[in-house]
Amino acid sequence: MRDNKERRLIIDLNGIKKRFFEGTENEIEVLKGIDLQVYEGEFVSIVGASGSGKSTLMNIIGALDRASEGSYLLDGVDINQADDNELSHIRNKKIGFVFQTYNLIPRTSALKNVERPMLYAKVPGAERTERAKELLKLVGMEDRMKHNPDELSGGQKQRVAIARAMANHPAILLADEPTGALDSKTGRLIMDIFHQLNREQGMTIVLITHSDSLAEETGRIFTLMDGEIIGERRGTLADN
Amino acid sequence: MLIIENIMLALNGLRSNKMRTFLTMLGIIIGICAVITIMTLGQSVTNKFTDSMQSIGASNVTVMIQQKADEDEDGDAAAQGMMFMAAENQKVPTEKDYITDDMLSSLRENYDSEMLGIALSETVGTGKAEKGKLYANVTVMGINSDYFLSNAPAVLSGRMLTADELGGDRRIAVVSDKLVNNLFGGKNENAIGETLEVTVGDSFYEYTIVGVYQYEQNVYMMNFGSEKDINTNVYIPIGTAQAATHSTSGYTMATVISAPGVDSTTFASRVERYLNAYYRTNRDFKVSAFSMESMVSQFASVLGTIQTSISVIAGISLLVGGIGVMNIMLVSITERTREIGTCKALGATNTSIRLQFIIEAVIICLIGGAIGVALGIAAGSIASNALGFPAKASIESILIALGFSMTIGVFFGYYPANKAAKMDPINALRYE
Repeated sequence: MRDNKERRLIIDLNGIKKRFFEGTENEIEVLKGIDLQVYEGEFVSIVGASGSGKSTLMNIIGALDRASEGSYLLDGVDINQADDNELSHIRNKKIGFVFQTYNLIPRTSALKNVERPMLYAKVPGAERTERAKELLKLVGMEDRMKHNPDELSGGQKQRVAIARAMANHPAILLADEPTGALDSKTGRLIMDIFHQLNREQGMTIVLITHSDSLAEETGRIFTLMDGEIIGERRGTLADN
Repeated sequence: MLIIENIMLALNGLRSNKMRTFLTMLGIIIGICAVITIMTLGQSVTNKFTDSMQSIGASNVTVMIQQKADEDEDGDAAAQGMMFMAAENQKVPTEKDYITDDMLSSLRENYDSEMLGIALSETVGTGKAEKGKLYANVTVMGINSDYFLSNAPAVLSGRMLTADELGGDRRIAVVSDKLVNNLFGGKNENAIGETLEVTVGDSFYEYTIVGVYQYEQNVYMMNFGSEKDINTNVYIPIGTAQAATHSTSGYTMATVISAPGVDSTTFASRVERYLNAYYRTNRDFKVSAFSMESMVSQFASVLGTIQTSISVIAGISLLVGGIGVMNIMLVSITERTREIGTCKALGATNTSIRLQFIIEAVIICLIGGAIGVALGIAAGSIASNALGFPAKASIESILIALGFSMTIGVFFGYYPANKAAKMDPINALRYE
């Protein structure tokens, strides 16, 4: 096992708190001071039951939301100080989302879906298409590039979504229950792709799941309960 | 930067729901089509009117005697031109009120450089010219030598009455080819030298035909009768006509033919002022002079106002169409909430989301506008042809229409687009 001290810190959460309905009677604190460090090339998982604050934590890690308190450095960039516009650029360049419900853009071919983040990054057209084709090949979807999402199966959609998440060479892949809507065989296939990306491309991956067995496959497992990380343990993924 | 890509995205979005897109466009299509059609029709009528006014001598100044306004009445009567006075106060002009030859010759001396002549006419009346069982409807009209200065009809056979003849009171006449058709079997040269027998009311007149002119239909006179019943003018010397009507002392109306380059509108007011000096002591009548030109421009401006107001009404349908666009955009944005959330997660900025939806609205409006323009050009051309005055839609009206529909797109697209841009990505991603 490698020593984390020598590796680059990608996610650095310190004392993250998130409150909703701040200043009202209904104010609730969903995250109660999260400290979490993820290093380059790691494959980690965050597990927790529903209501544990998983989604909120994911939104903050994914730069979709800002913490009420605490600091968050993503690949060295201070997220809590960024305005909406900067957050868009951070999501675009640094984060690759993989959702449970795939969230492919309807009526748009697999190829165009993968191109979309590069479109927002103003990558020139030819380069965009080339990179998108490469990525679709990587996830084994090169034969279905011209298909629209409604012509693809769940597993195929998720593979396109992974290719799309990789488009702008993000610092992390943020996968929220990526196998949650798939049967176990297809889910296995998707997990294999994550492992392959982590192993071969050195991709840093954060997997958010409620499934302990999936979490077990990763390098480190953080358990979230009632807005706090109550435990960190090693998974079965060696040398990570 | 992303404009072309955004256009592609918008077209993609619109293609995926063709029926709805078309129905949304329909409001814009109908609105633009209506505006273009109305503008074309207005143009057609204006053109035709102005053209024919010019051809009948728009720069002529018509002088007529007019009853003086009552003391308590508005002094604006002169401006009413040919309007008739209220019947109860109406007085019939008698010989002392007529415009005399003396007045006209002094007018001619004073304004010699500004006029070509003064056209005078005396109508004997309308009646029938008969030859055996054949007949033709005619109006017998005495004219002076200046009458045809500005717009002489084409002479088909024989000759026009000469200045000498018009100065006298010989019983000679120039008739129309239509009359020749009815009475002399259509051979114009056969009519020359023939005697024309005309009955006007109880009176019977005989004239010798010396010439045949080409009849041109007056655009303002609707002709409900058959071709055979068309009423045409028989021109005779004015002296002959005055003898027939026993009105040798003057005229109720005269037409001053302005010289080229003279501003007939101001000339008319000077003529009016000059002649009214003779009427200062006349208790009942005065002279009113106006030029066709000022009437043409008045008419054209009235027509323009009508056209504009109808266009504005048609424009309201565009407004309704625009609201339709906004409505559909709002529905579409709600439906695509998740998609918008996804785009935001993928790194779309608020600006690019806003731009995408505004472009979508503009494309709906522009395509609708283009279809509307095409239909409007077709409808305008069909309708103006049906009116008998063909016209084409002007380039300006097409550009205005397209510019306007684009503006509608931006205006009514902005609110929904802004709503989309401001969506919270977390809620949008979770939207079911």
